[in-house]
Amino acid sequence: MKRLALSACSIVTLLLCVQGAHASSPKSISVSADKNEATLEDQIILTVTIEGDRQAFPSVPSIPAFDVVRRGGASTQVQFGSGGYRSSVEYTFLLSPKRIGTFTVPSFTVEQEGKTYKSQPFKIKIISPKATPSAKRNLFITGSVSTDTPFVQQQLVYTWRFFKSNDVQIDGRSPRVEFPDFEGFVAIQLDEQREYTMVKDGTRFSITEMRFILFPQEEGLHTIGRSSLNLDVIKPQPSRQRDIFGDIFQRGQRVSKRIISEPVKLTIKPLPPAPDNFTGLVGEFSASSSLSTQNLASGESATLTYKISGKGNLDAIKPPFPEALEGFKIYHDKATNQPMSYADSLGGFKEFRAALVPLAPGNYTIPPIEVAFFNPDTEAYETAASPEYIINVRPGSANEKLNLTGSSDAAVAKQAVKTLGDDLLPLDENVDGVSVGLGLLDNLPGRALCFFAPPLLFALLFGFRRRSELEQSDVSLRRKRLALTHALRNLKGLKGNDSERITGSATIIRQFIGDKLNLEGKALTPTEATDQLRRAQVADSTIEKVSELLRLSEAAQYGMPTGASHGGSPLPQVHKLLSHLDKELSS
Amino acid sequence: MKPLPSALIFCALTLAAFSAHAGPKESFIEGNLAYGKAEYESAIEHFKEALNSNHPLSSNSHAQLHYNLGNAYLRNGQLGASIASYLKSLAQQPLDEDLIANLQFARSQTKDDLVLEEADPILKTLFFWHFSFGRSDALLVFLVANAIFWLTMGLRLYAPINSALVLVQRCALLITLLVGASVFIRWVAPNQIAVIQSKQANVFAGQDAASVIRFKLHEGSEVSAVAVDGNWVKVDLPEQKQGWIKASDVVVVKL
Repeated sequence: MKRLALSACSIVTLLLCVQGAHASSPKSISVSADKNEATLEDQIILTVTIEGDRQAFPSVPSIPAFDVVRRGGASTQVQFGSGGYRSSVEYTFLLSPKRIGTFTVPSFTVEQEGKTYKSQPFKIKIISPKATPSAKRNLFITGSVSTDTPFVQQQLVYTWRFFKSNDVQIDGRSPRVEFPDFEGFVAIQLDEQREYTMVKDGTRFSITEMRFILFPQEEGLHTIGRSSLNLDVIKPQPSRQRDIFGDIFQRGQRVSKRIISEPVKLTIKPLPPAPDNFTGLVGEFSASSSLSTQNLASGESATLTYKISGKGNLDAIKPPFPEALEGFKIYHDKATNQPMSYADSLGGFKEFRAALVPLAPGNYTIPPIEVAFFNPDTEAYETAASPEYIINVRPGSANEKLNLTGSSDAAVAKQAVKTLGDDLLPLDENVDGVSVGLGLLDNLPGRALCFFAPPLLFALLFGFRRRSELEQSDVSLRRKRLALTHALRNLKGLKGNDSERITGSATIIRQFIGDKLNLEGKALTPTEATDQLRRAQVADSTIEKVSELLRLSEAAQYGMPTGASHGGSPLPQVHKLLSHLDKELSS
Repeated sequence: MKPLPSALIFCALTLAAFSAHAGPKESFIEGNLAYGKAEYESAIEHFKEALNSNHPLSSNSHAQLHYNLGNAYLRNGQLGASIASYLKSLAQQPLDEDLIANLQFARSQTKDDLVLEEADPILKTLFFWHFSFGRSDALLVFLVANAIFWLTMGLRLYAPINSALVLVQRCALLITLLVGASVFIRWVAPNQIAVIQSKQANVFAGQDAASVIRFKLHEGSEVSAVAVDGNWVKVDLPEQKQGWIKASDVVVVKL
């Protein structure tokens, strides 16, 4: 028991020492990298060490040339030496390079006790990966295109493949792939991810494949950037390093790896000069049509269907109907769009329907439609055409009145207003608009003042109003409130010799007592005044002073000596007495 | 030192100090001139100087300066900063047509196909004051209506009650309550928009750069900022997708 207590004391003492030494530890932040030169496929391990605080976390700067990912948790260290105790914490970050060049890793910062500590910035050089023959590599990715000299809008297949040798084990949960951003192309995934095996240069590989259809948007030289794949490779541990549970819990050591593909360069060729009816279709297309009936009465309808199908950029297909058809009124239906994936291309069909209503009997010809497209295989413009139809229109059974204005005049065909360019609207140049505000509404106290001032003003007005009403109903209240004001005003107006002043002061005091106690004050004798003041629980000393003043006043009135001349003017004393009396009568 | 040279040096120093701290109007004019000469970085500095001057600016001035700053940022290729500036201006002047046009133009240049969910048009019509008044305008209307209400209450104490006074008082009370609720909502739970500033920003599953990257957003994209917690901002994407983004990658604007 004694030993246990001793141990506990030792631990507590140690902890106190640690706590005490903590504040005096020097504070700093340092960053080290495991390498200063790396390839695009390497990952650089940054170790951030913060001395003097085991709880601090560094502020990670923006490093655009790298993807930064934190690895693992914090590692704290405590060192005891002759100089005392030092603590530190370490964080590890993985940097995955995005491009080639020399880049600066800016300062990491940490704030402690209001101070900011910064690490030294340093440079890292990123070079191209070593040109290792694929035969010697057991993990790699490739990106390839079906053609590297396509025409604008010609679809091409970008195939992404991940090769994994069968003797390499990876953590199936870990792969994170980043495809190129396909800038300058419209990209559509062609099909689902495919997995198969193949033998390449004598090595059997498992291959994961994904394919995208790309439509180049502009002519010129284009580069499809690198794609990258981050994954964890499991390296088997030698059997002697495994423990008894190794087979169950330890499959091996996990090593993070990043692999990248080579960029793909393409030369996008422009289309040759196009015919007038070319709408931008590139690929291989055919046109067909059908008419529900070729024999109908005036006022009846026939359904005309055009179908344009093929492989290429279907979005460029425009409605093929003529804007007006002589002798018919046209009612357009909604177009049907059916995209389809083929083995190595995208295509499908677009179907357009319209109801044709003949306006008068006769024989009419529905002209064929012609769809111009550029065929990359023949490198020439071709035309797909539908057949021509002849419709026989009989007279209608009833003389139906048809609206002829809709289709009789093709000269006023409308066209959509195209936006030729767009830009910012100009600056606001009204200098007078820039004005200095009151500032009152810019802060919380000012807003609170503006909000509370009106109700406070109302409360004040309400108080005055209420008092006024009360004083009107009870005059004594007003007399009481204004007693001191009147008394002091009268006192100030007193003139004459001392005797006259004493007499006047006594009258003012009587009047004051009368106002305060709601009596007819001028007629009060000293005895009555004393009695009234006692009833009002005024202090005896004050009553004595009032009584003395009234007595002196009576003496002065009858020509008897007052003795006041020895004490100077009585008015200041009377002023003081009135104020004192007012306080006591108001309390 | 003789008195005359001393006075001249004093004047020169005073003038230098004055010119070093130009007022917001001067900075505004210089910003506009720099913009006209296609010196957009200089224009940005001048507009920022006007906004950060020691003189308290009116809310309209703030909106005007942020509008011009947004134009300068956009011309300078800083799409994210431009949209953030336009939104700050929009918070004060939600109905400014030029501003809305330029904001739409800037939005058309963003990469991500994201559209912030807008309030129901019926709600926007019913509660037009909440959606159409700028923050400062709403506050001003609220305070003026509040003052009118209490002043009419005071008048009723001393003046004979007439129907016009009662009508004014009731209108003022109604406006105070309705606009006051709008001001209160904007104060307590403002609509916060996070605008992506970096070319590409990762949206993580948690407040940790080592956590799973759920999405990648590009410069100028606007997402709803649900919470700001130190160096991280919780963002809300359409279809109830959420994630955390580094605060250094976004500017959060209160609408």
